[in-house]
Amino acid sequence: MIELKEAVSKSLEALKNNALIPEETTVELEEAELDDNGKIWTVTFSYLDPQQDPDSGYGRNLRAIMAKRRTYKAVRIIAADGSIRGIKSVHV
Amino acid sequence: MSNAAIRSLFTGSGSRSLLLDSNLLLLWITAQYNLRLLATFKRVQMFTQEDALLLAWIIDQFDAVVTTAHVVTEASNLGNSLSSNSRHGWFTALSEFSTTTLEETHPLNALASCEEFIRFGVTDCALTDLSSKYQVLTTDHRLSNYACELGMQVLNFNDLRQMI
Repeated sequence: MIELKEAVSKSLEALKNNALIPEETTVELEEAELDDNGKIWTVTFSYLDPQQDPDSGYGRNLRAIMAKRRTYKAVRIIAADGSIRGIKSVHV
Repeated sequence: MSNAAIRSLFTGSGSRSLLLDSNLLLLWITAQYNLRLLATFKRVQMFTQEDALLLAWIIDQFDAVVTTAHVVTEASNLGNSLSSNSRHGWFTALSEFSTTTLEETHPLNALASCEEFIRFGVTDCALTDLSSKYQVLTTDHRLSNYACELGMQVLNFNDLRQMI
């Protein structure tokens, strides 16, 4: 049975190993939750995506907000053995 | 924003000012401060990052954003429910907004004589009064439907969201 710290670490590793987050960005932990049955960890990260560079033709306010937009990814891990069950994008 | 229908709604808006209702001002200040709050701040959880982008695009179509004392008070009261960690940054963003906006004020007795006062209350009554001067953007369908029937310059943000 893996605990919180290991669930977070394995989730981040899964995202990086599968190239699902850009290498040059700073990833932040948003949430980590074990389901009510104690079987699945869901760990959510967010990051500023450098690929979402605002178009210079956009207005000042839109560019400012686009530069702050975050991408969210959630990793589901089986608590019993720490294996990855799935990774998905989360729309916020 | 590439949607032609939305673009057409704002054609020629470049010399006009936009007046946001309380919920949209709250979204705007929150987006300026920290988009991550859209996931956790109960008062703006009905909005997404895409909504913040749409609002930013709409604001860019106008010369300026104006507000009213009533709208700012409502937004401030809602912002006050943030945790102490976020409150400082949020109110700093509101303070920065105050340096770029024009604030309209209405005496209560002037609003009380308007037909919309009893129907909508103080804040929205002032918005309808100002719709002859500014483009009003609201999330309140009751207000926008009423205003639309009377030919006022009031658009509903939720309608625009659905056009994308």
